[in-house]
Amino acid sequence: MRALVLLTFLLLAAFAQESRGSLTLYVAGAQLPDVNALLQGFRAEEPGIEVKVFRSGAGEVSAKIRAELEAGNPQPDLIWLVGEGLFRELSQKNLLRRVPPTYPGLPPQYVYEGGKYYEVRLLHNVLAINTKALPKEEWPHQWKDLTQPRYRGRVALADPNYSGPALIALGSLSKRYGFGYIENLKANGVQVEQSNPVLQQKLARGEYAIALTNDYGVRQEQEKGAPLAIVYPQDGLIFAPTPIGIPTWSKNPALATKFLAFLLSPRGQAIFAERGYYPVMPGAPRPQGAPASLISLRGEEPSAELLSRFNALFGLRR
Amino acid sequence: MTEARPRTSLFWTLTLLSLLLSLPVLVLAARGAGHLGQAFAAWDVALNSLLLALGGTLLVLGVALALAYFALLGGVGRGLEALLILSFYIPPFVTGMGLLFTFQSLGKPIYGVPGILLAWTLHYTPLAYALLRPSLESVLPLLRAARAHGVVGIRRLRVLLPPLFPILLSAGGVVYLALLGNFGVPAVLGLPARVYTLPTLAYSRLNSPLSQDPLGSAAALGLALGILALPALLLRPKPLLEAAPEEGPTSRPLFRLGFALYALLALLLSTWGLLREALLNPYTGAFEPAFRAALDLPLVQKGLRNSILLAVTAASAVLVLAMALRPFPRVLRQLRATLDPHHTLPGTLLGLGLILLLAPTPLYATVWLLLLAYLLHFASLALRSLEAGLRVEAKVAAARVHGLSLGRAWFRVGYPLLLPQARAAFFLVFPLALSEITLSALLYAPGAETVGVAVLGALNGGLYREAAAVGFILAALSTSALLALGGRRW
Repeated sequence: MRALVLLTFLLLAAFAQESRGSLTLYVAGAQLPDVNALLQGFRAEEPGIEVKVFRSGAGEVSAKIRAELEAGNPQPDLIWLVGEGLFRELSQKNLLRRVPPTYPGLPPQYVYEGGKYYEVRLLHNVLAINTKALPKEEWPHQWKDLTQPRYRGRVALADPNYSGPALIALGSLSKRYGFGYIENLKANGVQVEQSNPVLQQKLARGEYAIALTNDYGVRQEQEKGAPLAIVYPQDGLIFAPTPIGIPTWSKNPALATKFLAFLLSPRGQAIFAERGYYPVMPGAPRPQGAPASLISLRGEEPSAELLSRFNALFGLRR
Repeated sequence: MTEARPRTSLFWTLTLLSLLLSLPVLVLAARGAGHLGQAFAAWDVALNSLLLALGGTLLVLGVALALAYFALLGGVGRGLEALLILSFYIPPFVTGMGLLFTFQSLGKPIYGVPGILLAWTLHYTPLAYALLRPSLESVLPLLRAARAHGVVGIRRLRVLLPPLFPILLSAGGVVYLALLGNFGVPAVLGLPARVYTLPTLAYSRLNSPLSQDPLGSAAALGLALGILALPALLLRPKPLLEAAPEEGPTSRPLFRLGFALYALLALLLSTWGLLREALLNPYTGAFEPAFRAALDLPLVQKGLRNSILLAVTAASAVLVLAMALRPFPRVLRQLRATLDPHHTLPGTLLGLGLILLLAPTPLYATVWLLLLAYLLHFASLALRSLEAGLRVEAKVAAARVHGLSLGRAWFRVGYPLLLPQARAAFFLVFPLALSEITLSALLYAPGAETVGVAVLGALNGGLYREAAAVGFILAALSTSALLALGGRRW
């Protein structure tokens, strides 16, 4: 009996373990190890802080925020997404807390709406190639090449319902080349995978020859020895905005602001480069083996109708 | 007359309690009813769920019956049976992941329907086997009579099946409900191939950026799931008394070998790929165990910690409840009957119901919500296992005759006799709670993740090797519960 009481107390103590400074971050567009590297860097400067993370695809993260808003009990102190849609919505409803843009050297195009949200690193959509599956002379050079019959059944992209970068790619490509281009992709046997990391794993293992995917993940797999190469399409690689901002309901805005400042600090920017992203600060290091600068076209999310059309075309259920 | 009063008040208390406990499902029904149109639009997914669950049930029953036959003719003992049961102690989604990697290493990816059916068969066959073997044992002598009448070969099934029909039906009901509500396997093997079942579609709807009312449309799917589950609820068997094992008269080694081969193959299929993926670098083939990297992930650490705490707490709490109610069999039975739906109905219903009910409260996004869900989900298991089995009332009564008070009689005589049963109940709930994924995938929150959620997250995040490593650890932890169960002492 005494053992039982003791056990109960131990369990209660274990559950109740809560540190004083706590920050809840909802994040998409970065993988677990990336987030962990950033948190480690942050904790080195702010010891004793607990950061709770909800990490998933942009689709799931924004759906979760919407559901929590509907229930009147939103959780995140800091939101970091792919695509500006939800941020514009929150801004219109006056649900974003403005942070004065006092970060020396930060180019003005990365400060949105006077500091309501920010860009802290750059994410691009590129073409990734399995070098074992496709000899160099057969590599595609443009997005448009993907509809060529010689690539039939060898190309894949991530599910735009789940993946933010894929959603932006769908929006940009259908805007540039019309939905007919997407239909041609489908006709050419293009496959849809759940997420970009899964897609990159399958590409690296030879299940596909070409993937329309994000750049940082490919660089990370290259580092691990995967037979992958990046092609920056000549018809313009797609820049996917990954805004970060602090909502008005944040329980700890001071700490959230500190985390934002850390991401823009030299240490934070260096971590981005180490993880294969382009930092936003001009003086920061570039990712290894990547061009010094990239010229890209800003991407946009498609309308809900267009996404529904895509889902119907590829047999995706939501 | 004096007795009637407490009886009625007890009746009302229990009714009120039942109503309170069924609140999540009632709220779900109310919310989902308005969106039933959306659920009808997904009729093909409902049909898919139904056919998959039915097909899987037939497969599981067939394989289990064959294994029981082999076991009886081969004189298979407890040791070999334990080998078979091991497969049941590997969580279903880990089995699914193991198959994924095993077949990937053979160059034949096994996504979609075949993968789901195979994973279900490997995982649930031991359960059906345990339910079927005692009954088969009692009808096996019929075969001898059949042979005397010249009935041989496949026609013998016509002799064997009719008397087995009732147990096949009730075992089939148990398996069907398990498959219908299973989330982990179709999430791992179905979603990548766009094969949807109601639990996975409900999850997708809840997380859809397109949906105007994600909770409502998910609730409607939950309701559809409940409707599909209803017929099987009527087939639930009563608490089973374990039949005393009798050594069969004949013992043919060939049948024993067949049994052993199946058990080994099942284990191998689900663990080979896991180990390979966890141990070897897929690009270079070099030996680089991923266990360290996996355990270094904060999500995995937190998930393991939370899951172990939740499993120990939930298993202990429902056990204490069951023990406390054991002296009052009527209350125990009533409460068990009230809680039964939370265990037998697909977990998706309970999970969505709890979100609908508690999202606006401070309980939301904490580990306590998970604990509440686990308590509701696993309580009937513990209550059921103390309800059946050993009758200690006579001995407690004897102790009272010797002058012990009711409480002392139970503590000194009743409970000690029930300890083995309590231990069995604990180790029944513990591994299930440890690797729970249906409820936790819906209810987890940042800081309140479970290990199942961590594995799914790693898998979606392309961390295949880390996911495999954690899956293997989970399988090992669960099977150690089986070993604890086999040990003599507590």
